[in-house]
Amino acid sequence: MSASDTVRMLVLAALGTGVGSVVRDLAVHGFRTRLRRADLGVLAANLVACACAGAAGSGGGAWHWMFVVGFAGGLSTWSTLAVDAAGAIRARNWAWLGLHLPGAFALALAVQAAARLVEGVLDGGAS
Amino acid sequence: MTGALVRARRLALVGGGGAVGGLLRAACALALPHAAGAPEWSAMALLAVNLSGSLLAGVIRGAMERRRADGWDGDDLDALIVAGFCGGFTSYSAFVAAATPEGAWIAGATIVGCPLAALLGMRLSGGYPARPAGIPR
Repeated sequence: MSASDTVRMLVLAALGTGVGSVVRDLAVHGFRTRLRRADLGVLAANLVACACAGAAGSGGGAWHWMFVVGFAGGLSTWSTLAVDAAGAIRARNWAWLGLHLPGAFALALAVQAAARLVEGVLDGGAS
Repeated sequence: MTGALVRARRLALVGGGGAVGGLLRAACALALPHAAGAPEWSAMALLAVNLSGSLLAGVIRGAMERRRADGWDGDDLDALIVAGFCGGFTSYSAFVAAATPEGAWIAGATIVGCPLAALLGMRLSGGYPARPAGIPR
């Protein structure tokens, strides 16, 4: 891989992540103002990002760096979830932790698998 | 400043911080030897990225809580570093994509470790007492 290819991939990933981060913040803001539940905004952003990554399929081209590494990576987040979970640990809110940690992980695995299945079916139908 | 301008300023900070965080995460991905047939290194590097991003987010949030008691706002720092940089640096979708039966321990370490890293960050920055008020020992 040439140096210019590497720079191009990094720039595409950075652009995609910037856009994904903005969309995530809008989602969190929307859930916070309408439902007073910012944590559900993080959950929704993470699940949609997993669906995007699953539907995008595998590959290493510009699309992968922009959409999968960039956009889906920026749309999803571990740090905000971790800070919220730390607050729940302090408040001993075990139900919240169960829903948002193992529960969300199981849901995300299912969403990503479903998206991959749909992508495979559509890809097979197209070829 | 009007509400729309405040919102636009926050989104610009989140987008800028997220782009830098994503650039660093992508640089980590490019520097990995997974192409040479060692995918477990890829998952372990992602674990390190998610743990360090969670720790930093905890440090900043804890510091903000401490400073807010003195009347400091800190919304710009939250947008740039926590929602932006840390949010773009860490990735839940990559974590789920990397979760394989062989790497189940990495998934477990991430799920347990990231909240503990954030908690440690909050404690290190002195923003949170050992136990919040109203929670009995």
